Amino acid sequence: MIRHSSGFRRRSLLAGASGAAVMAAAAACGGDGPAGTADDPIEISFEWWGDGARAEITQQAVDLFEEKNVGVKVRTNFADFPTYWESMTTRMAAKDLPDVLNMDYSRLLQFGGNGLLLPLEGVVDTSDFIEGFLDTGHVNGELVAVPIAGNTLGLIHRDDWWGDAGVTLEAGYTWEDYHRSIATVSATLDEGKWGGGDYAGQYHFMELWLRQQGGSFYTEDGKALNFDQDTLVAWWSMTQDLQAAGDVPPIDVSSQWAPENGFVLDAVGADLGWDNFLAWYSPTVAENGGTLALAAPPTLDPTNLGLYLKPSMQLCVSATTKYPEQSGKLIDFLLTDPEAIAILGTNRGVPATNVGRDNVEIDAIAQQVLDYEASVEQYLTAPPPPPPAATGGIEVKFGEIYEQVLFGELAPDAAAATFFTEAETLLAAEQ
Amino acid sequence: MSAELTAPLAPSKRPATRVRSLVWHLSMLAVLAVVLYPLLWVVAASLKGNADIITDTALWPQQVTWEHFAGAFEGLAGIPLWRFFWNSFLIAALSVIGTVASSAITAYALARLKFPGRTLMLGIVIATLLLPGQVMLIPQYLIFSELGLTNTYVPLVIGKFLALDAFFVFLFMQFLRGIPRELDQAATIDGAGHFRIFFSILLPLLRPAIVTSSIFTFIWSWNDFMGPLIYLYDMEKFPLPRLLQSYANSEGVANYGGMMAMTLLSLVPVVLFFLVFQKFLIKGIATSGVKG
Amino acid sequence: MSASSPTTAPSLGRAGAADAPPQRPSRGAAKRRSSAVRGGERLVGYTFMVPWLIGTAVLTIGPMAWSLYLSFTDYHLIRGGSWVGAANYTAIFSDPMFARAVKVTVVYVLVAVPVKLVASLLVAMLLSQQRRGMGFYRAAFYMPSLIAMSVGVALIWKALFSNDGAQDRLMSAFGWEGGGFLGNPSVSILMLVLLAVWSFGAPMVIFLAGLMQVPQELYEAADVDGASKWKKFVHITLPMLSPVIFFNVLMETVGAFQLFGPAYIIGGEAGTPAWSTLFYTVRIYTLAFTDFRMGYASAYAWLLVVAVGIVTVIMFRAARGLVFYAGEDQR
Repeated sequence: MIRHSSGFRRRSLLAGASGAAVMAAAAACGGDGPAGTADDPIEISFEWWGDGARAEITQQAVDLFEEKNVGVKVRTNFADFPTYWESMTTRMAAKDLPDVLNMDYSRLLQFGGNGLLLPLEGVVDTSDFIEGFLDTGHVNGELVAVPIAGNTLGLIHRDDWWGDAGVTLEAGYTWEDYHRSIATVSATLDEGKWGGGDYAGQYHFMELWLRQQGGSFYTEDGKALNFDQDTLVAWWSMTQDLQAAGDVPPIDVSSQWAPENGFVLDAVGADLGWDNFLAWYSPTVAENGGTLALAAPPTLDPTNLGLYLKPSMQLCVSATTKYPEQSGKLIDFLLTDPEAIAILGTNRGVPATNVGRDNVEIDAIAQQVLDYEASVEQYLTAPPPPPPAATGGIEVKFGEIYEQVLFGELAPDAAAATFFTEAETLLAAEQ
Repeated sequence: MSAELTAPLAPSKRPATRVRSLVWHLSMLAVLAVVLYPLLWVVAASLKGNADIITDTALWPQQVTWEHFAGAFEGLAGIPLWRFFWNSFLIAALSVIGTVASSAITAYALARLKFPGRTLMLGIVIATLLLPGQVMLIPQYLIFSELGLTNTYVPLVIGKFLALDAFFVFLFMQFLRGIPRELDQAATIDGAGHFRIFFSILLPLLRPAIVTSSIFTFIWSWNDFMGPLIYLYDMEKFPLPRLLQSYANSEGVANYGGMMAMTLLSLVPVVLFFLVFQKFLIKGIATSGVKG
Repeated sequence: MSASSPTTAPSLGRAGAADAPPQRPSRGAAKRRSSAVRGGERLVGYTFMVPWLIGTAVLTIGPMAWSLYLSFTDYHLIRGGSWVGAANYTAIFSDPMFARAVKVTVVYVLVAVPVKLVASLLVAMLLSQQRRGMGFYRAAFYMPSLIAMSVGVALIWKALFSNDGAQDRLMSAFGWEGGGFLGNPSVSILMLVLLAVWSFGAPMVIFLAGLMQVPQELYEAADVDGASKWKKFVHITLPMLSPVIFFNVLMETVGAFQLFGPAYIIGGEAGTPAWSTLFYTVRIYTLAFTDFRMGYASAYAWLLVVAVGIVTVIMFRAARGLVFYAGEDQR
């Protein structure tokens, strides 16, 4: 049984149309493929994370795939990011992953390192990816994931608020400059709005900061943290003054935002973030009468921004799939079929294939992201190895323990000690 | 005991008594209003505009909107709400059948029959009343996972068919103790076997226990969250509590009213059940000490 | 144990017998039964016990033994594991989140259980008078306890205790500046305490049933002696109610140690804000099913069993001196 996961007004129409097309095609050629015919189709499953809008266009692309590949049915499913990973880890335990699944870079080793992902060499067409993109898909020397799109960190900020406050960011601005700017912007805003967010609770941002000093978050072998407790104390003290002055949202307010976000809620004027998130924030910000812009992140060293190109999302095939060939075909289709690319647009980011870039319609927001990426291209350095399998857990702990600092439950040094204990335990458990 | 409570109030003698009675009722109603405020609030919330749901503490929406219910019926991820209701209902129905059947026969054996090991078994039943279930959770998960039964309803209901809900075994035992033994002994003399005694003599007498345990099983199963959280991952198979959790994690923040409407709808069956069967429920809980 | 917890129940169970249709008169007890009948009884007994025996062996006792074994391994759901001796248990005592989870859970048990029970006894006493509309009040107060532990109510709770939500607004009127409990780690546990108190209807009904059993003559005799209301409460109601009180205290305490659903919905796996709602069972869940550290989680679970066991034993010991059984009627 197929479930089309998008219950939108257009769905039944679409399903009807594609159903009719499949029937027509089946009638025309009789369908006698090696596996799966129109009468006796094989079924593969495909799951991703995202919202309803993404589900709608993905379902359209999948419908088209079914139309073009008679005898292959695709059972689709999607969920929001946390639910998706909750489900995937449960299914990992049950060794029951979908045939084709959406992967996040921070989870790649957790899944790939356990032999749950199919090596994709020869299964997926890898000839058309843009230089550098495939590097991040390898685990133990084997390609197990291909990128849908890439992203990198940047400073997302409310152009309108920052402009009104008369604040501009000069290239190579420092973290101190950034803090001063936040304070300036905050001073011009009403209550309940802040010039910037507290960024110290995200390990990705600390990683950026470490890379600006030539360091990294994990050691090369991924078995340990590559910094000491004092460094973490320093990082977790970065926004202390901003917090004390009330220039960033206090934790009792921001902790109630999840899973929404300060930009969407019209509360925050700047934050570090993945550049492709602009597509998520911008429409709501525009509804609120604002505009968002992207700038390079603050840095310790104007020649080293610490940036690297990360796959924003990857596609993988389960090692237990019965239909590697058809699964590979679906991935090829989604990433390189011009029609599919036209349907999918830049919802998941700017495509990682040449044919993708040639065929996608770039809207204003996507263009903003592309322009930003072009502007920092010279600063992009080699990506770190895929983060260790414990990263998902460590990332959560990092935020959780920093929360203790903000709530005043733990002093930064005690919090750093706690984080080290927790991270080391998690790393050891995953060895 | 209901007889005492429904006994007609003696005609009031003095105005002072009447005033005291009025004061008493008013204060009880005031307490009741506080207790029921959350439920009245959610009814109102599901009819308010999204913007002011949290901050509006009034129980009467300034402007009534029904759109949240329309949104709630759409469900999540393209799966309509009725599907989740159906899943919840299916799990609850299986649980009821399993619990009643297995608890009744287990209780009969423990309360009425003599066989070696009975005392030990009774002791185990009582001990499991107090045993934290978390300690079995991991191995049970490993067993069901090894058998390929995760993402099915089997782990959620199998225990009910195996009389593992000690509360209900207990409840049936209490009712059985209330039925005179002379009854089955007389039947024994008439030549009836234990199967016949149980099925044709005791079972009909156990009707109140059957109804009570059915209702409780239904409601508990309807509310159960941990089992579905651990065992189910396909949204199509989610019962309502998992839907609500997923909805709260995704759509919920943007569409608070939709979430409140969905929450309200998920509570309706339990409240209806309660209204229909409240006499049984309250008597059942009083008789067996089953907690709600 | 079997002698005391059902004590309320048998006496109440007898009251339940009134539901049974009138019985035909006994033909006299058949005291002597042939060994054939006895053998048949044994066979039937075991037959009827088959589902329970299978369930208990495969899903209760087997898993308990297995999890005890797992608690001495570093078993990881994906990676497997091996014997590590007592390492999990020694690690737990330097685990900051264990300390926090214990603190949160113990505070909850110590606050929620007494408050809930006092509230339910109070309301039960108010409702045990003979007045019009008692059935209505009893039903209305009882109803919340049926849904209190559901995900839906937990979501309602989150809304009521958000910043600017009902609780914040109400308390701000009296000068409160702490915002919604949901975002304030020093008071967030109160949300769960209040949720527990909100479900006071279940013990209330049990108290009510117990109060109905107290012989009115005792009060009448006390009235003759001119005893005050308080004296009557302390010297008649409490002793006569003590088996029911004991039962409620025991069940509520054991239940409170195992609170999961509402805690998970309100605080999530991290027990937000700032681990202040990090309940013990939530920690077990996260360790086992998010981190997959099932050996370590099993050690957590066994410590819970030991703790609940100790608390239960202490309660039974204490009950010996405090619980008064009128007309011991155990068979």
